[in-house]
Amino acid sequence: MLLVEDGLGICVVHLSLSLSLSLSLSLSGAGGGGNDVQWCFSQVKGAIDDDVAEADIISTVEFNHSGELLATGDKGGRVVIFQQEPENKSQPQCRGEYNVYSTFQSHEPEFDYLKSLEIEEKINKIRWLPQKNAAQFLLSTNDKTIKLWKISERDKRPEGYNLKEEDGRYRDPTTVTTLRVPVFRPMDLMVEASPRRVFANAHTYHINSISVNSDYETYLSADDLRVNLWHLEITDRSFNIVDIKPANMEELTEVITATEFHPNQCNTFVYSSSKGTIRLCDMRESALCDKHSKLFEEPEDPSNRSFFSEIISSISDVKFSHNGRYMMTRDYLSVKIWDLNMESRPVETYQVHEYLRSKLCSLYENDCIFDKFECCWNGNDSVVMTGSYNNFFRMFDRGQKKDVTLEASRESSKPRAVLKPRKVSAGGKRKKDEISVDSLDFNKKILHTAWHPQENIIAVATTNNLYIFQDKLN
Amino acid sequence: MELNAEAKRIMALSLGKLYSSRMHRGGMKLHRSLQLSLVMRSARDIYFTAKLESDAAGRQPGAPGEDEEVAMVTEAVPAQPAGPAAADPQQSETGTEAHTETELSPEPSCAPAVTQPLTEAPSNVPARTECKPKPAQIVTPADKENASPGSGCAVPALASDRHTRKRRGNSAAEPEFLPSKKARMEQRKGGESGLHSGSCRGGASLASALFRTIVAF
Repeated sequence: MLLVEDGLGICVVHLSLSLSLSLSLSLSGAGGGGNDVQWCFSQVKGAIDDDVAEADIISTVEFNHSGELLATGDKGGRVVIFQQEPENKSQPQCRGEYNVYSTFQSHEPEFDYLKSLEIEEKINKIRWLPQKNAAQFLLSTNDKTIKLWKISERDKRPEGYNLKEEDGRYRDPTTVTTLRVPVFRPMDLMVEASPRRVFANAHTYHINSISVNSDYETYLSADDLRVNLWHLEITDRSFNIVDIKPANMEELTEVITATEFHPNQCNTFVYSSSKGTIRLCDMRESALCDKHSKLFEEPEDPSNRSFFSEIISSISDVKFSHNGRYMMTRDYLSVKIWDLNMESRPVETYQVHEYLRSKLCSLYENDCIFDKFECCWNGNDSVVMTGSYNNFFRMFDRGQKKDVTLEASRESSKPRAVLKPRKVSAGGKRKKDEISVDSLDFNKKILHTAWHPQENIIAVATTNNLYIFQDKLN
Repeated sequence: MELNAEAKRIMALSLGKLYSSRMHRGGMKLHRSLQLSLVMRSARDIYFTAKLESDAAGRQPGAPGEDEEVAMVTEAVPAQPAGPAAADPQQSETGTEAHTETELSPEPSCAPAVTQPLTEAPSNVPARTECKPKPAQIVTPADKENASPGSGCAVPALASDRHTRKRRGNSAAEPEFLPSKKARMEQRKGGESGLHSGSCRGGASLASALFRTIVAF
């Protein structure tokens, strides 16, 4: 007998030949993945034409905590929220589609008069708050300002006012002869988004991350050199908890690239740097967390030194696993899984597109080397996913040690069409159906991906389209 | 020597990127500026290492002059992270500075020395800019900085270097994009009239643009 504990609770599992099967059954509903799963096209959102308007470029994708809502932000400062339709009772095997629920302009372009600089309206990150009542709340941020948005539904409206007509015009009081009580009558569903808080003027540099704390009261925001802690109710002040700005800016050697709160320890957060290190900080130790509690760093492989080895080690994303035991980092060429108890090296490393290592010079010339890829975990932390070029995205099954490359393209966009695994030939003989490195389209990059918290549903953002894939249900 | 040429090319490329990043909407990104400066530093280190090795192999005594040109530009390079970094709280002047500096900057091109082209798709062609150094309006404050003995450049050595190189007809060794001391030397010594003044002006304009960038910050 084996006692297994995971994020969902303690399960007793009989140790037998079917151990892996038992495990997946006991974790049912949490969403496995990897090679046993066949991914099918479900939907694609966005314009079809190849001429991409810059404002339509998707800059962030995020599922809410239940997975019912999917939010995207774009370069034009808009947020579009999709809602999953309730499952069709007549077709219980078919998951609901995601349809537009709400669209609103979150941020507008601004001008900083003091610095003579334009502030882009591009949404850098969206983070959902856990749902506490009928309304939904999310935080969205551009380079300088974070906003808390309330998204609420209105499906009834009061009718039968005494002093007003139905169209809003005031009635002549002398014509009022009787009194009535206004009643709520159903109306067409209206989804309203209203900004409830604006958290501004706290960042000198460009905000790269926001993260909601597990206490559901505070959140942090990070720019290149500082991390600030906010209370969701208080907009006129924030606490600076990390400051890596050197006294003399000429001595600057690294910047903060991503930050995240621990999923269940409200005192713990991590931040990654451009040097490839991750620092874990405990807010109980001191008010200013400049001194880290743990430093995660892998020594550089000297055989891989090049002009660009310093910059490709920069971490572009850091994500805790749902159970809080691991964290994943993404640098330019790889994904690394770290055990929070081991600082010396990652426990797993997955090469995303190693064939690009010999192309770094060209990638530097066309600026692709600066692309910031994100990564995500599936619901039960067994599979991780990240994007690549040519609209490819990669999944790594940690348990089965398998990986797959899939493509988000219009060609494979037939309803419920199974995605065919793709392969890039690194050099030498190119087999049939393989793509050579030189024919990859580096303008088609998948930087943002998201995985439904419970199901095997993924949202993959190409430049201006959002693809939704799900696993094939039999 | 290939590594040398590659290092020089990358330094030129990086300078161009650093320069054009000032024009981006939303201002200069600190992280990106830092990454560019790191690459420039790597390239400089490799360039110097390779140069020292080739010098140690017993080249002509005139060679060190080229090192000093690189030193002059690349001494500015460590200031680069300071440049964009310090800029943010004090970037009020960059709005106006940007306009005047645009006309000065000769953005280096991506030389065909790149070994592997990534793709044939037209959309993938990296932004290529002309390498022709424009006849510069030499900016006086920067050039004063250039000429100052404290800037770390051994000026007399350069003069002899010019003579040496010219006599030997070895113009290939001279990096075009790097600032050349010729103009200054010509004014000082009243010597050789602008035989190389075209390239010299171009080189100087890049240097002056670079120094103005730092001064502005």
